[in-house]
Amino acid sequence: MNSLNQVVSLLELSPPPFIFINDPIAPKFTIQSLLIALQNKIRLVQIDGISCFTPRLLYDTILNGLSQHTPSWDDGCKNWSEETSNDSMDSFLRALKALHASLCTANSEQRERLALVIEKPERLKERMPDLLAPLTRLAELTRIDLSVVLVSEVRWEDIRPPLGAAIDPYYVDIPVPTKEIIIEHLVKVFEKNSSNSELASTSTTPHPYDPALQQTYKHFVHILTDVCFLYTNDPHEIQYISAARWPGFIKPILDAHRMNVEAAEDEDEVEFERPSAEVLLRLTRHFKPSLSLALEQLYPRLTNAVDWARANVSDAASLAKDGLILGDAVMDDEEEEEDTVNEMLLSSPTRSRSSRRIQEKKAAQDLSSSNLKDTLPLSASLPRLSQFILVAAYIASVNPVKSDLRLFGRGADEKKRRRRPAKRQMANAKPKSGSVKIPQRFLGPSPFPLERLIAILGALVEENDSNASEVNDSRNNPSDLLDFRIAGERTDYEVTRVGVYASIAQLTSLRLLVKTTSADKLDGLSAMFKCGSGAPSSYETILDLAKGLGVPLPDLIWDNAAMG
Amino acid sequence: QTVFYIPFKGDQQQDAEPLEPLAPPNLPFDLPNGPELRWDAYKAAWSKCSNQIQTLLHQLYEPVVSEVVEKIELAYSGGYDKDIPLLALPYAEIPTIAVANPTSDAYFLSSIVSQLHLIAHLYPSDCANLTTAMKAIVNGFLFVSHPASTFRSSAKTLATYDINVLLAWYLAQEPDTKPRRLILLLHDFEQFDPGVVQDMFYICSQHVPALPLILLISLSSPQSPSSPHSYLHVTYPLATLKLLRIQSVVVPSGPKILEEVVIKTFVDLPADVDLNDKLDIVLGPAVLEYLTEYATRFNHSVPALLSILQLAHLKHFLTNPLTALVSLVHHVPLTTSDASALNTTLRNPASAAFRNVLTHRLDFCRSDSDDTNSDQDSSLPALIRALHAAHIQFRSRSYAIRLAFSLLQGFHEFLVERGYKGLGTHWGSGNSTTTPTPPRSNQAAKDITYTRTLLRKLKPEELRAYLDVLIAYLEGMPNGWRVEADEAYGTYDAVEMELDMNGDGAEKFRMMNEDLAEWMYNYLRTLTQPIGNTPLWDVWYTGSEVFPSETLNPSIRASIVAGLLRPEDFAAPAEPAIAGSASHSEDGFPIHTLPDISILFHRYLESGKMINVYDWFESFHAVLNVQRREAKAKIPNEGEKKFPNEKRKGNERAKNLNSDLDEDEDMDAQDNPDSDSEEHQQILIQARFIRALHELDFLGFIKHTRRRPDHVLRTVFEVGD
Repeated sequence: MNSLNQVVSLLELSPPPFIFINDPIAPKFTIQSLLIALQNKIRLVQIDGISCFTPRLLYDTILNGLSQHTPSWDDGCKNWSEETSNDSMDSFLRALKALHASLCTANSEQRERLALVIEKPERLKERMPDLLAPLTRLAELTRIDLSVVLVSEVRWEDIRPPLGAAIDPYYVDIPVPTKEIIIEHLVKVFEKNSSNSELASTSTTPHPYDPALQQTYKHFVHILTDVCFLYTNDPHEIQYISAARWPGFIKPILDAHRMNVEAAEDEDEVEFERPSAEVLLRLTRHFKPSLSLALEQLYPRLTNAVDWARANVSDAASLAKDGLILGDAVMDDEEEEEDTVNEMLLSSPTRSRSSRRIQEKKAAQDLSSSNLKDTLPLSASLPRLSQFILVAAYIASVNPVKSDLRLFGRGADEKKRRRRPAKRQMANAKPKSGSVKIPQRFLGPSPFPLERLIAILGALVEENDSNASEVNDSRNNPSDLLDFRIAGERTDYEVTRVGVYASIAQLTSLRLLVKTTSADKLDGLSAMFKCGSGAPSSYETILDLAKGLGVPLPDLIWDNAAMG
Repeated sequence: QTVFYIPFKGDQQQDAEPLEPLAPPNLPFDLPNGPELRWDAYKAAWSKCSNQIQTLLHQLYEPVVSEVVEKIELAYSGGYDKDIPLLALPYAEIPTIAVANPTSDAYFLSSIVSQLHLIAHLYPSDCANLTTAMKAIVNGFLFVSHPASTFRSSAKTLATYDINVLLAWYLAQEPDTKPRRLILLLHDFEQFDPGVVQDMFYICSQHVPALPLILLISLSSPQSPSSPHSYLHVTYPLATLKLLRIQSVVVPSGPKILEEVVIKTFVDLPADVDLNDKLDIVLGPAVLEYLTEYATRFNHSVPALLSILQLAHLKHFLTNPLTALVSLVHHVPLTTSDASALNTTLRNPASAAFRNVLTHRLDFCRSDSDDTNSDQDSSLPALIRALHAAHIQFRSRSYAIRLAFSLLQGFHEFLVERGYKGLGTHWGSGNSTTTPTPPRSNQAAKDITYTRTLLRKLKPEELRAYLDVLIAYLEGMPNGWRVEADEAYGTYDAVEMELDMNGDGAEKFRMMNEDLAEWMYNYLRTLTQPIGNTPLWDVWYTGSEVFPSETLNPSIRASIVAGLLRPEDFAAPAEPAIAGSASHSEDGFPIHTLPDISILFHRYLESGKMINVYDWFESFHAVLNVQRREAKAKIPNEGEKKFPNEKRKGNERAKNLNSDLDEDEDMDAQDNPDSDSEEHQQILIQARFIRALHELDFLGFIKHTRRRPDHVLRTVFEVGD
């Protein structure tokens, strides 16, 4: 935070023309703090390298932002500047000077200082590499009191324009946020929310961000940060998880208070006071497993905070078990149970605690599985042939080409072929010198031609799809008029059907297969595919599919040792 | 025949009606206006069938559609729920509803769209780059709200692709008519360029609370968007996912939904008493079996289902001339207009053959008239009556079979509910590979016998429970069917009630049970008499007619090879001179009468792994020499000149173009037959060889090698004839 304060004071006092802030963890958070700190002190505009994807957008955004001009629909979305200001750097500079002049005349007593905060400048470099150097020299080019601040996850060395065209920035490195900073930030958020008038006015009952709860919140945040800090130290992420969990965490206390208010209807207003240390401990014990669960599901955004909070409200039964039904009315029954629990804890501390932990773990797992239960396995949602195609594609992706004949070749000289893999493995067993071969599994799927996919598919269908031949036999198929004398010929016929190609195309459009050659190449023989990322190239998924189809997948993987 | 030769006729209107070339023009015994009648009947029958299916789908989709709509409506208020106020989010997220719609059925999306306002559609083709994508979004919303007005950009205003234009527009809306949400529907989300979409989402997220955008994403990959393996999570980085508040909805799809549709359409009893609304024709087991097989193996999307059913309908009406009756004989017998239409049609002298067939098939009142042709007028009303009778009989037959199926199904479910095995695994629900088809003879007979056995074994209380179910079911039956069952069961029910009070009920009960089982057995047997026993069944029933699967799902390679080997199977009739020639034999045509490409292909199959192009050319040359001799021998007789060119269309990738050109060459050759004809012939042969070679190359039969330019590699081996 120190270095950020430094930037703020610099910008207030005598800014260098160009500051580069490198924040590898949470640039968004840094910018927010910076903007809040500089609010109403100097005139600044925040732009980002993604939104301003053309020079025109960049110029318009900067000028409209600095002049605090909002284009209105009624006058045709006119920009601030009367002149054309967005067709080149020159006109932009002219307009910027004019803007500064007009600002200075508007309030003559003090010189207006301008600042430009640019987020994700690395994207500007990708899209408009020519603009970066002039942007850094903006103060020099316009000769006005202006400072450009770039905030990036990337280092300046990586986006610096070549040949020293840009001036050297004033470097600022933001350190990795510590727990203290995160907690401080979260408490600030809490304060902001508790002063939120809208919320306070809506109901007389206390809300989760009631000022009385601040100490409890601090405690909660400490625990949460302990759980999450190992995995993420972006304050925004932890804030996100806290936002999802805190209302559920504090709900028992609020409910209890509501109950008290209802019970004491006629009497004086019941004071809402913060929960005692004991209750706090109980709350913590009850909700701790759900914290790591929240991290697991919310950090990768498997679900969103609102839905997660809704799905993870503790039900009364589990709350009661942990003695968290806190209303006075039910308190008496609870105490007994609490006693028995305490006795149990005393009598055999280790066992019961460990079993409790297991229970908690189980509960957490149940929660997570129930949340994801509408996940469709591939085997249920794909037609049979598409499943075969995926398995074939996986085999083609991880096996070397030369292994195909050995794995799938069947014929008169089967014996001879069968022997060779064994030999090879023996040779493999010897420690080899030279470069270490990386197993295919770690290299990702390799591309394969369509023909190879069809051939492997044919082999799989021939040996493992008894279903198809049965159906075909029972049906009076016109293709039965064709005489399949050679073994495998029917499979060959089946595998080259239009439906197969259609299925491959369909899988490609689902991105379960990826076509690596360009689409406008008509030459069918050289079309290359590979397994899509994610499920279709994970061994476990494909193994599941293969089991469902009766394909002995482990036997068909060449470098099986590497598959683990 | 797996390949249809569609002659190339330039850019004509005919392409609009692809059914035309399929129609066999003349069926035996056809009515004079038979094709039209059958076409009309087909259209009516098919529209009934497809309407029925659409209605069913609509019912199935309904809950999901309303879920999506509800989520969209709550998108900007859901966060401020009474129970869970979530105020402390670090930044606003874009509400995103990811719809996993594996069948990618447009019908589903359209029913969502119809319930919402202000939707901008975004297609992958709009998003080649960020500028066009943003422009499409801005213009999309502007266009939806005011189709007439567009935003005109100049150098002094914002750019058209600036989202601030949208913001300005939104802020300028009147507060009372201001749309509460702007929905952006992304079709075929997998096809979008992830790089563009990432930036697009980022830009949208910068304006989110001010501009109430909602993203509706239509995914077609099967995984639910809440699984870590879903397309969204695999493809997009965390930075993008953080901007979205993803809620996922999974549309019902796959084999289950198909099974439900098929059962409800073709198997379940019609709810209507007078059977009027049901489908015009009944699909036979062959079609249904093919349907289930195709659905499990290849494609279980709704469009595939529809196209199979449509093909089955088409085939039914195209191949059987009697099907014209479907449109002529109506369910409600003998309103005057129907009768007169039928009357006039049959009275037409040109339909005598048709009438004859009908008379023979119906064999009605033979005694009245020994010669139907002579006194047709008198027999006509009788014929019409008989037709109606046959129709009604067929309807009740098919109803009976459905009833039998549903009785068996009911019994099975009853048993399963009580923890028994039921009638066997093939009755299990949820397994669409065995969608039971009513008239499957062997299995049905077995099941009925087994039902008898099981019924005998029921315990008293179970029997009572079953009877309750059964009687309730039969009570709900339409009139004509209720009577006999009621009769049978009312007594049983009554007797059984008494039975409980008697002490020595065991023996009596056994008897009763025996009787019931026997009755059930007989009843089911009567119900399941094969549908083919009714007169004229083939008018309304596709029976065990094979589904033309090869037209829907042909084997490409086999078809191409077959086409090359035996072009005459596909296009021979075009050239009667060849077909009638003496060289025609059972095995096919001698090689020299084939098109060039086929000649080459025959030689190709005889060669080794690599083919020397020069040898190939030589062999081709030899064949062409024979061809020339034949042609020369024929010219004096017939003046037939251009046959090689005509026939070249024979392969399915017919080249329409060069025939004129070749003709010119041939004409040239004819003009100066004496001078350098030999040299000319050589060039001609070479040209034909090269062309055929390139055609094979284009079809992928040849691979070139760098090392030996005079050789080519074969790519196809061991072709079975």
